[in-house]
This record gives sequence, structure tokens and C-alpha cells, in this order.
Amino acid sequence: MNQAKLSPIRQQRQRSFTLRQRLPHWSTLLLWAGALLVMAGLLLPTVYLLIRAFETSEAALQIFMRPRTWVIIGNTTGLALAVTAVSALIAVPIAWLTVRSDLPWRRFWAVVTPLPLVIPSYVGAYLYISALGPRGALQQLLEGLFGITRLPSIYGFTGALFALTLMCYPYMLLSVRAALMRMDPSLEEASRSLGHNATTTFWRVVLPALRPALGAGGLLVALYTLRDFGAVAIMRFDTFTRVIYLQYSSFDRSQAAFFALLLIGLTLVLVTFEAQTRGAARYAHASGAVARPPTIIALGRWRWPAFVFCALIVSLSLVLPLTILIYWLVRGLLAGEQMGNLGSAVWNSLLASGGGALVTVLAALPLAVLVVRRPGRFTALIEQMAYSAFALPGIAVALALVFFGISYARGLYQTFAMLLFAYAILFLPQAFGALRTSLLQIHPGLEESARSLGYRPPQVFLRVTAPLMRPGLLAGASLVFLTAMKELPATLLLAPLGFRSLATEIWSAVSEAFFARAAAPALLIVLLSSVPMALLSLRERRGMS
Amino acid sequence: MSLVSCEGLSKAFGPTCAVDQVSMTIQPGEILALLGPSGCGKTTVLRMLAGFEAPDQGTIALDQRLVAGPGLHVPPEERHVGMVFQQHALFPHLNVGLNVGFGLRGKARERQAQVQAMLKLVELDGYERRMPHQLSGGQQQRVALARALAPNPAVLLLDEPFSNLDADLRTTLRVQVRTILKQLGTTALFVTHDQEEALFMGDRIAVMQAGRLEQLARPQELFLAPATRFIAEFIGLAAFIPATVTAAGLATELGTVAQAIDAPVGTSVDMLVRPDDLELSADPQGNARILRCTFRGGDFLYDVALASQRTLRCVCNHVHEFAPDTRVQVTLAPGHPLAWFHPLQ
Repeated sequence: MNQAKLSPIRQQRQRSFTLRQRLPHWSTLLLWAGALLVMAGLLLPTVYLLIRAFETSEAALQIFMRPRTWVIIGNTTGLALAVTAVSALIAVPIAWLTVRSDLPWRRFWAVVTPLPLVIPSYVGAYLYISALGPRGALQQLLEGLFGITRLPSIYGFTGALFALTLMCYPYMLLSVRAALMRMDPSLEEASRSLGHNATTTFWRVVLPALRPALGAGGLLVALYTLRDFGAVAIMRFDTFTRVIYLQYSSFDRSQAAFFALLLIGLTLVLVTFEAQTRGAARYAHASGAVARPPTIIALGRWRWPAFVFCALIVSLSLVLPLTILIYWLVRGLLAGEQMGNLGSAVWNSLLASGGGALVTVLAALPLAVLVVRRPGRFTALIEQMAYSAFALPGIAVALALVFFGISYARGLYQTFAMLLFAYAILFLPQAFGALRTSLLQIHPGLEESARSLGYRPPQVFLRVTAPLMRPGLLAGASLVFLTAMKELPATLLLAPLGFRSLATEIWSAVSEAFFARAAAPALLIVLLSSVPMALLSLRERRGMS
Repeated sequence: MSLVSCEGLSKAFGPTCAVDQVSMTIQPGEILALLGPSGCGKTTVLRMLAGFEAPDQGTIALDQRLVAGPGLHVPPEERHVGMVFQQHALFPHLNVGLNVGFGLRGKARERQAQVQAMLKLVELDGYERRMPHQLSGGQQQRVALARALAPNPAVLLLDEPFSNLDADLRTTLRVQVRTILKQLGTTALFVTHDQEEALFMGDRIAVMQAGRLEQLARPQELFLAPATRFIAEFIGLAAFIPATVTAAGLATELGTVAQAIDAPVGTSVDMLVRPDDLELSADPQGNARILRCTFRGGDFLYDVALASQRTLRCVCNHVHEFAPDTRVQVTLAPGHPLAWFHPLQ
């Protein structure tokens, strides 16, 4: 009986061996075809915008020469730089205090300070506006107490800087914290034994050793700011994303397309700049494992000022927005705000994010398999491109797809499929990263032994690789799911007519200043975004113990 | 006049006592090896000398100056000690030249000259522009040595500096390091758990065990006259055979050894017998049987079973080879007084 079961595999094996002399296995061809298709899709928005700009090169040049264009470039880069700088000023002290000092309630601050990550920028901006803006909670409070009817305006650069910094600094905080925890304590001891005191050692050894983490965290913050649409739109500050959206709404197409291209250019310049400056000094520890945990430094009389600093940042970035959110929610409920639409918005959000997660993971799969299992110059290029999609601003991709749809794919324009395509482009890096990591953990020997036992590549993939990759597939899919749930600009521009998701619901309510109506969907989004954050902090704590 | 002296050093981490009443001195120009199994407290002693830990009790004087004691803790940067770490701890953002010059003050030209001199000393001249990650493990450790020596420290502390390197490199590097230290006349404390390394590097060796200093002596002395059973077993191969004190000497299963010891007649003691204290000869009526034979290149190491079922180990040069189960005659021929201990209860 065993013999009968075994024999077909053997025959197949011989057959495939003779076939392999002539051409690669069909599954290999399928893999490459899939990967090339995904790459083409990835390039489509940028290439299309480029072609468009060339076709109307005269008009494009004219736009480029306008002073207004340069004001927007200045606004955008200025805001990105300012948000990054202020984030560093917040993140570095908090990271150092929570890892290296005897700050009171150290563990509590370590858990709480990264939490503002769960607030999407448009939700945060809406909450700050409704708290600190005209007729906001603060003004009403002050009017009741002191009769103050006007506050300094929060709109514009100040508001955008304020909101974005308080929502972005955790990116830098997390990367600096991780670097501080990994740092070899003997570096500082070496410096001390060479005659430098604690302060000099911080400036000459600790801070330079943190540079890669600051660079990586700074890149995340600056990219977030460049791509952000929600906060700048709500704060009415003219950066590229807001101007592109306004022009799109007023049907000034060629200018919007050209601005989208400029914005992509700006993000790519930033990514290359960061990679260049990192260049010469690689900071990997030759030894890898650190034997000892970080040493704790007594703050002395600075203990309580440091405590106040942490408390201030947390109350501005977390307590204030959440209080305001609950305030609006309660007020809305008391005023009989209708929650009827919420059900369909939740359903649409789930549908779009679920579909987006599925499509994105499927798109990332061939890329990850090729990059990990067939390392080479071309697959290295694939890897770089997959990650560079991270620099693509949602609004630019969405706009490119809108124009592409109108001109070449009428049937797809304003369909669900187009929205999923945009999600796949925007969130490919996250899915790719998760799949790549899980594939790297699967030893190729497992696949090879399955091959030597008579299975052909597609069978090996289904029976060995895929089951082992399941955690990675799930992680990638849930990451994309939760990010897509928060996505605003592409959903606004590409969703079918009448499609209302949680994100668009908040947007339309806030645009019309119905603050109470936005509260319930905003709370739902914040709660959903908390899930990956909770997992992340669990993992960090497990890593520490 | 000693360069380093500790008196009654103790240090506890929570409930565990890491270092317990350790006193030692290091003479100028001497290399003292601090040897012990991992977790014995040797690194804590070194870190107290460097100033990274404060002793709970006891005092430390470096170069006649009290640096740690009740109510006194001179910070590491003011102690003028050099330190070489297990994981070399080179600053990853600085090149070799800047690493070596990190602890130097003064005019740029003088610092540069000192950096050059140090790199020449560790045979890495021409490497100033390299980044640490571009160097091999041995080169990194040599840069770390140059960096620690550059400011002319009063004493150099080395914390298992070779333990992250592979065996070959470790041997060549320790020759190099000892030559350099002796050439400069540096006073050094060298922490290791590897007794071969300690025997090679140390002018004297301090053996620690469970936080206590068991013995501080020249290597030969540790070997011939170990102060405790622990040291006897820790250094070299050791076996104990019971003996009784008689008027003629010490009576053992292998005959009487003519050695007078300071104990009344009739006392039972355990004698320390090392493989080279025994001689083997083929003898069908012999008092022992070969259990196992290990060829060690230059010689054979035999495990032999005595009539009492006690096993001993003896070394024979590579001319004689006995197969397992061969009957042999084992004779005690130490050529020096044997160390002895009171039997374990």
C-alpha cells in the first residue's frame, strides 16, 4: 500500500527533472510574472505623473517659476523640518529619561509616551481645533470664567506644527529608546575611564551613537509630515497635500498633477539624503549581544522637573485629545446626535481595509519570495523599490490614479477595485517587510529537503513554506488592515460615489465643523489603532525582561 | 610600596554577596591575573577599581591616593586608570585615530604624535582612518589596548579582553599584549576565567571563588602549594588519595612517602597527587589497571584504577603505550613535598 502511494511522486520527479533541462518550472515563471506586474503597478502613478508633466512641459515650467509654487515648497519643507526638530527635542529627553534615569514612574511613562501614535493626524487635528480653536472648548471655558471671546488663532503653521509634532514624536521616541536599550554600557564606561565626565560622555559618545536612530526616526517623522493630508488640511496650512486637494476639488488638473510629482520628488530627495548621510559610519556592534542592562543614573534635583516635563507632554499629546473626544461624544449623545450612519460606515471600512489587506499581501508575496530566496542584483532592486513605496504620499498616488482612470481606464474609475489598487501601492512596504522577515526565519534547508523528498516547487510552497509563513502573513495583513482603516486622502479621492467609511465620515463632519458628529467614528478609529500598539509594547516589554 | 591596594573590599547586589572581604596589592610594573570561575566576583573587583561600582565596605588606593572608602567615591574619569573591555567597546562613530586619541588632552600635534606612537606599538600604524567595524576582532582589541594606554594610565585594567576571539588569535594576541605591557612597564590587573591565560599573563595570580580571594601567589606556588582544595582542583589536574601520618612518613595505598608534615602521628589526611607525580611501569602483578588512555600529542594521559577502586590519572611520555585493562605498577615519585589537606567531613 505504501508503495502504491509513493510511486506517483517518484514518477513526477523524474518527469520534472527532464523538463527542467529545457525551461524553468512554470511556478518560477509565475513568480517572476507576478513580481513584474506588481513592480509595474508600483511605478504606475509616478511614471504616469512624469509623462503628463513632460507632455505639458511648458505649462509645468510656468507653474514651477511661479512664486506661489516656491511658497508651497517652502511651507512643506519648513513644516517637515520644524516637526522633525521639535520631535527630537521631545523624544531624546523622554527616551533617555525612561531608559537611563531614576525618573519617578519611569515604567509608566515608558508605556504611555508612545501612545499618541494611535491618533490619526486628522483626528488629532480635529480634536486640537475643537479644543483650542475659535468657539472651542478652551475658549468657551475662558469665556465663562473671564469673558474672553477670542484666542490667538491656531490655524496655519503653528497649529500644524503643534498637532503634527505631538502625534509624530513617538516615531522618534521608539527608535531612540530601542537604540538606548541596545547600547553597550561599556562604551560610556570606556569614555569615563579615559577621563571624560558624565556630561561630556553624553555629548561625545551617547548622542553620536544615537545618530542612526535619530536619522531613522527623523526620516519617519519628516515623511509622515510630508505625506500628511489630514492635519494640514484641517489646520489650513498650505503645504503640497492641501493645495493638491484644493486644486483637485476645483478641477485644476494639470497643476495638481505637477504638484503631486513635486511632492513625490521631495519625499525621494529626503529618503536619499538620509541614506547618504548614514553612509560611511555603520554603527552595528561587532559583538552584537549586550551582556548588561543599561545603568541607571540618578537625576538628583532634576528628578521632579523631568517628571513635570513628561507629564506635560503626555497631557498635551494624549490626555487633552482624549478628554476632548469624550467631551464631544457625551455632548453629541446628550444632544441626540444620530449614530445611524455609523453602522454602514463601519461595514465599509471593514470591507475596504480587509480587501486592501488581502490584495496587498498577495502583491507583496512574490516580491518577498524572490528577494529572500533568490538574492541577486535585480532582486535587490525589487527590495529597494518595495520599500521606496513608503515615500509615496497617499494624495499623490490617488490623484495619479484618478487621472489615469479618467484617461485610460474609465471602467475602473471610482470603483472599489481602484481603491484597493491604491491601498496595495501605499501599504506594500508594510506587508513586504512582514513577509520578508518571516521568510528569512524559514531555513531554506526545509524547502530543499521537501524538494529532495520529491515535491515540486509549488507543492513545497503550499505544504512547507506557506504554513510556516502564517504568522508573517497574518502580521502583514493585520498591519495593512489597520493602516488602511485610518487612510484618508486616497479613500476620499478614489472611493466609489456615496462610499462612506469611518475616515471619510470624520472628514466630512469636521469640514463642516460638526465636531460632535465626528466623535463616535474618531473614537472607533482610535480604539482600532490601539491594537497593534498594544502588541508592540507587549513585545518591547518581553524583549526587556 | 604598592601601586594598587585594596583593603577588605565587599560588595553585595541585593541579597547576593558578589565580593567578600577582598584585600590585595599590586606592585609597580606587575601584571596581576585575577582568575576564577564565572560569577566569582572578579569582574566586580575590577569595576570597583575602575570606579564603575562603589564598594559597600573597604578601601581602594591607587598610586598612594585613596579613591574609594567610607563616604568617598572618586568618579572613574578622575582615577587615571585605563580599561580594556571584553567587547572592546570602540566608539562606532569614530575612526581608529580618534578612538585612540579620545582620552588625550593638550595640543593637537602632541595628541597626534601620541596616537601615532600607540598605533605603532600595537602594530596598527596606517590604520588611523579605518572605522572600527572595518577591523578584525584582534585588530579591534589592539585598538582598544592602544586607546587605554594612550593617556599613560597609572594602572591598566583588562576585563577578559580575549574571550571574544577564537583560540588561535587569543594565543598570539596574549603574547603581543604581554610583550607590550612589559615593554612599557605597565602595572596591570588582568581578569580571566581561563587558567592557561592567567598562567601566561600573570606575574602573580589571585584566585577568587564565590566572592572570596582564595590565594594570591606566583603561578608555581599555586600549583605546588595550593592553599585550598578548591585551588588544587581548579589549577591543573588533581586527585586526592587518603594517607595516614606515621613516624616514617605518609602511608598511602601506593606505599609510604618520606615526607614530614606538621600533624600528629595517626592523623588521616588527603594528599594532592597530580598526573606527573606518578610513574607507571608494565607489571602483570602490578597494583593498578589501565582504564582509559588519552593520547595528548606529547604524552599519554592514563586513567588507572587502584585496588581500592580509586581512580588516578598519570602522565607517561609517548614512548610507553599501555592498552586498556593492562596491569601496571603505579609508584609515587613526586620529587617535591606533596600538598595535603584535612579530609572532607
